[in-house]
Amino acid sequence: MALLQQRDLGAFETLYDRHHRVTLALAYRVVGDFEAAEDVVQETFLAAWRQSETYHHARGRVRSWLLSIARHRAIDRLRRARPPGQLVELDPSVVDPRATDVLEAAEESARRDRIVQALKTLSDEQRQTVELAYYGGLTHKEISERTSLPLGTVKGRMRLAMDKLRLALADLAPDEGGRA
Amino acid sequence: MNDGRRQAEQHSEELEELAAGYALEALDADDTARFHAHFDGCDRCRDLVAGFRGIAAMLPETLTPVSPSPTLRDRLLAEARRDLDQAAEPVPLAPIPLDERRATDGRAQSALWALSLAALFAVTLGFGYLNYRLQQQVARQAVALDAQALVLQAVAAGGRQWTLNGTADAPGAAGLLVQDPSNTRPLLMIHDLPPLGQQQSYQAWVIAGGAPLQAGLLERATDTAYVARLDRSLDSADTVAVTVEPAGGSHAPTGPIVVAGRL
Repeated sequence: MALLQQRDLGAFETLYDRHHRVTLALAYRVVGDFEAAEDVVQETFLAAWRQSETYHHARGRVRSWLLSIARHRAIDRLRRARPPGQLVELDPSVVDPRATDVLEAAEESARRDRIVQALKTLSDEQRQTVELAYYGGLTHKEISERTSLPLGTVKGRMRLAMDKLRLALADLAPDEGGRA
Repeated sequence: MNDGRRQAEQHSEELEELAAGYALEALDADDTARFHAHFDGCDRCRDLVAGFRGIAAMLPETLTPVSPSPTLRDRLLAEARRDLDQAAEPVPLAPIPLDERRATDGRAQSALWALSLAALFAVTLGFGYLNYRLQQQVARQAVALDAQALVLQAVAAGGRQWTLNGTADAPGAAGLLVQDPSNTRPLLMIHDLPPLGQQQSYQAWVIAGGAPLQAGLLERATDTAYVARLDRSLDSADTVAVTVEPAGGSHAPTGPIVVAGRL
């Protein structure tokens, strides 16, 4: 990252080669369109190149920083494309609590396996609530409308799910800072 | 003026329940404002949010990686190279090893030669820097002219306008917000803003019901003027404001408000 902050093109290539596939996976999961997802990836890496000084080592891993940029840009794109008051139609795999494609592809690394195992400890409903917020960019209220559940239930499920994950993965997660 | 802040509540189980939603950015506008007001003064909630954000950052690591089209890498690298070319910063020259030269037989001649090189170095550096500054000025003038043209187009097309006024932190500043009917992203132009530090940015916020939503960073157009195409629509917004933030911006306002306007 120090080299990237000095505008080293080789460091930029390395950054891209290491992280572009998971960044594209996230963008695609959010926007549901391959071309739009590639645009998000392009915007993300250019933002990382042009604003590399916004990365602070103490606040987390480089990959987390990149994925955070990608998620925000993808969700912004999703919201702009969504007419006011209308909820986005998500890819069924996002909202289907029985979806296992992500979980079955979990052998890539021990870290990934740990995260997948922690997600498996959630109930289907808890995981769905977290995924609708994270990948769908939906608020408590929008999730409540989407799932026809009381608002209080949605808030409670999200809190319980995140608490479970936090306990299970405490040793993997550097704090991301008190502020975003 | 509504500055997006409200009275902080005492810690409660209900507020604690909002921490997960806050970390996942899933709070509605009212809950965001409520939790944000409480958050700064509550160690417990700050710890919870930090932990939950760490968890949220891990979620996409479980996705199956996807390969992009082969041209994406080339397109990105071409953009990055263009940035480097445009910056055109002067290449630093290696310092002249004066001590080594003085140790040789032709001492006086070498010293003169070194002085000539030093002078050439200084002139080259000076011209390089001047060229760099001129390029920056030309680029900024282009940004300012583009923004003015967009405002004129928007006004001619019947776009809505609002004025923004400087606060006590920037009393001379003022701005114009224009909603072009043909573009969903409002245009914001601010002039006479105070100079920023090297690690600072001006960031725009669209405030709805007391909850500030990030709306993009302002781009410098002249020495004191800035422009931005806001990332947010003005639907249901009641205020637009600009704050000083760390370079690259923040997810929630942290610095002083320098201009604001009611819609």
